[in-house]
Amino acid sequence: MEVIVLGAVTSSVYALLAVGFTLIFGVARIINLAHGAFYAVAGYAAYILINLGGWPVLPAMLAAVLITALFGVAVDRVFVRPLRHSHMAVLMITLAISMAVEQGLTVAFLGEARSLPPLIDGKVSVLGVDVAAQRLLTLLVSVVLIGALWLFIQRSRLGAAILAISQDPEAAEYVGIPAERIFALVMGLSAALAASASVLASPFLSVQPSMGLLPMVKAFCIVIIGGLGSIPGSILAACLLGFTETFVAFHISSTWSEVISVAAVFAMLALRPAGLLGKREAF
Amino acid sequence: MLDLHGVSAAYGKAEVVHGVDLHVGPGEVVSLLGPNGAGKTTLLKAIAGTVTARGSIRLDGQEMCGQPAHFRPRFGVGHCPEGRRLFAELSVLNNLRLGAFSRRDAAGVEEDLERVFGLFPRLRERAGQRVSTLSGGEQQMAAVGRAMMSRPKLLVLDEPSVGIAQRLKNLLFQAVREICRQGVSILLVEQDVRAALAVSDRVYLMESGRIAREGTREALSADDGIRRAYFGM
Repeated sequence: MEVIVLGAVTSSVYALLAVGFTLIFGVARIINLAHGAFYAVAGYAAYILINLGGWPVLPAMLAAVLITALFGVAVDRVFVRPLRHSHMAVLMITLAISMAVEQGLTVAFLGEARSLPPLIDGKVSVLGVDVAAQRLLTLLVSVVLIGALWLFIQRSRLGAAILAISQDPEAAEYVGIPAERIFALVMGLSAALAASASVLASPFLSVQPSMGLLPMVKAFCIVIIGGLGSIPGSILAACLLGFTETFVAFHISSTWSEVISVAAVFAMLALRPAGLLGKREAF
Repeated sequence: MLDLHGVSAAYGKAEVVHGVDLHVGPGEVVSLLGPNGAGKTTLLKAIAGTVTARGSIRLDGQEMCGQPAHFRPRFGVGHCPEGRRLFAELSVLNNLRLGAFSRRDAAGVEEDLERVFGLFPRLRERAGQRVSTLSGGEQQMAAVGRAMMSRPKLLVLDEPSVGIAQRLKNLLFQAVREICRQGVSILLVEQDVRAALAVSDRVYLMESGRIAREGTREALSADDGIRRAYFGM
């Protein structure tokens, strides 16, 4: 039972991270290595607003998500846009951004781990398991956010433009879709999703300069397993990984749980390089 | 209407179109014919803004050269590209609605949707289907319909009849005539020369990136040398 409840929470955080990562790949063909940096920026933005600015928790977390989304848009406009013609250059610049963010945070805040207060305190009993309310909230908000994203993409005019560009960027230009603006919007959305994962999960994890690395690696693994560019694939793979890791951590040992994502990536690349729901090989 | 003056176009550093002058009058159907590699598609892309071009490209007196591709539908260019390039995983209806992306007049868009369904009743039957499940001819209808959804002043058609059955080809060219009757000018690149000549008022012959000849349909199809060299008939 504990495995199911905690596995669902882990899965939901993974899904938030991976959906944003796969979205920007599907639309703009960018492998964004700064995705983990978005996660870290959001954690520190919330930390600064709450501990130094004295903001209440909820407004601080919403503001942190907004700040990170704007940071994402800025990264796209300033760094990615001039290099868009070269995949390798985009890969390198996003790696550089992620390193710069980590180093910048280390210089400003030193390496020590800090913590964020939870949005809600206490424990809730679900399926006979006592769970921290913050974890349950994380699960619920993640599901709502991913559902909202899905509706936005399927139902709205901008969502249609996003789908159009992901299927044929040149044809999208012929019908008058401003590609650069859509790319910036999607980068902002992607950053906002990573930021949401960060402010939701940081109260039971921690805030430190290198906090973006593990989420980045997990998002990359999940997206390879699920199929680069496929949102349903990412959600499916996030659940597979989330539940398996939790199961192994409970019944074997938590050190082994970290190996699973890597092993799963190897298996997937060997057996089905396009991923579970991917349409083509990404590499 | 459409006026091209000294238009050159290039892929990177390789210039493919050299100083072309071309004119399409209001309500006119103009064909651009010539061998493969003559630069016809590139010239159409220069009008649509997806290759870099120099010179002057005006539509109703407004200079479009240098404006980004996604502004061109607002100038009045409806571009139906070579190979159709539909959004394959979306429904026919969504493809058509995306054709009207640059418009804000919801009522006008619904009107034009009816107009497109009037031109191609088959699309109404297939409206909810994914484009990738359609036949080649139906896809071509959807591509023309998508270009018409921007309510263009000029419809640009690049090889619309490639790989589609004769019966659907006839339907397609009937629709081209009907679109023209509704007051839309048409610039057509087409490998089926007979079909193109049958709908055209005037013809340009293009060769190695330049306009080699220009004239009315009657004048060009009466010239024996041209008939043999270009039309193979």
